[in-house]
Amino acid sequence: MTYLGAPRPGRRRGDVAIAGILVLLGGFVSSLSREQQNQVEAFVRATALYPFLHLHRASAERSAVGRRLADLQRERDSLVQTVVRYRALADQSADLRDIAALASPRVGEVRAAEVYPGRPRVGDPDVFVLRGPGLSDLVFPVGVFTGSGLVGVARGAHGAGARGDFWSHPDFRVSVVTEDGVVSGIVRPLRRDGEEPILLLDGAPFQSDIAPGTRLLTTGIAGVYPPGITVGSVRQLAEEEAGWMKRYYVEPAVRPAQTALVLVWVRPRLDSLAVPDLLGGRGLPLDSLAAARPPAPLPETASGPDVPAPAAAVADTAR
Amino acid sequence: MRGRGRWVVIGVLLVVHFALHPVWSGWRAGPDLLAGGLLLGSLGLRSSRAAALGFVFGMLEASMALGPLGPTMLVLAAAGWVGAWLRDVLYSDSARFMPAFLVVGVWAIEVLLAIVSGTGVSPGTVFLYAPLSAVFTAAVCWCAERFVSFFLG
Repeated sequence: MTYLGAPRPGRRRGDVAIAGILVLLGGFVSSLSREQQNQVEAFVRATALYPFLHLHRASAERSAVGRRLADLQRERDSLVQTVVRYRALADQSADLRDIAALASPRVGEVRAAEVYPGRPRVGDPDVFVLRGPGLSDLVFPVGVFTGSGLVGVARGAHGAGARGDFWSHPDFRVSVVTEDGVVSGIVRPLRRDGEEPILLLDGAPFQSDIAPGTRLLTTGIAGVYPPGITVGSVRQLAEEEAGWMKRYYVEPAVRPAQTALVLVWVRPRLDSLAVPDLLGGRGLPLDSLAAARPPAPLPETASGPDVPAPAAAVADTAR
Repeated sequence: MRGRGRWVVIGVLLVVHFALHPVWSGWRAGPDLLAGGLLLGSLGLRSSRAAALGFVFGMLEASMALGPLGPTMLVLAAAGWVGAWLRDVLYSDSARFMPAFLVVGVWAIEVLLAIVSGTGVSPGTVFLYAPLSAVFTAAVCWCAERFVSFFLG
């Protein structure tokens, strides 16, 4: 007997048991930790899906090459202006640090990576996978950004790369400060029905007024994000809360869909503090400070002297 | 269509699905060729092998889309199993059976995946986008099968 032109497949005892075990195995995979699931995903992406991912990358680069050339030229011009403007300032700062016997500022370094965003429908468009050299040995979570602004946060290793959240992810939070350093607060994503996600500045003091167009920069507190990265610019006042706080709508500096290449921050090692050393050295080991002070419960902040920390700034919260 | 031709169709659907994934995934009612290929495969396989096919397809889809790995594997493995089981229940040699089977099957898979992926299930998803996607998928699968039949017989 045929079935739609093909022989009807036979049945064996045990078929149902095997099928049931496979379904249960799917349930078991759900109970694995995020790190273990990342390893499975990374393996599949590096083997069976590699040709397709390579094809997607090549196609995206080919279609965007003209636009990126113009963007790159614009970014280069802007960088040249910035370097020329601040070169003298950097020299002055170095001289003053020498006079005050301060160690050189630790700003960390960056590593370049390609972004592979999650897909809507089955996947999550608010997450991404990064591919690039030297990503797996980072200390997570760590900030991800471009020349235009903050992209998101890398949460953990994903094979030889990393997996993270765009700023549009519901768990994303970053502490920010206005350009003039006066107002600080926490920025979180806001997704209204049928609209593109934007950002919301929470916790701005009630007496503060932030003009539309004001840039918001990362504070760098907690050491997840480097200080001074543009998060977005204030669009308008959202609401005032009971006379003690204001919220502002913020236009993000970077849209997730437009990111292809990013920079991942490698935070500087804080094995010694760059503080004036009255004993003649250039820094104090952290251990000596820990031994000198009584242990106290500290918030999750890790800011060195290189990190501008406004008095009212709030620590990043990154899960 | 005989077994060899059906597996060619499934292979083509799988390659096209992943090659054009960035395009499909941007459409709210885009075709789900992976689900179509799974249901076509389940028509010619024993339930255990159909479940294994769904299990592997689920792993591929979740890894590509960065979706929930376990739930996607569970849903597609169960879909393969149920598809193979329904083939015996709804035994039919009608040429119209396959498109109808694909429409209902893909609709069910789309709704279940929307539930497990945690993106939120709206009435629009259940009654508009998922049915449109199912009809689109069935049409593409039917065309692919006709096309391959023309060459392979």
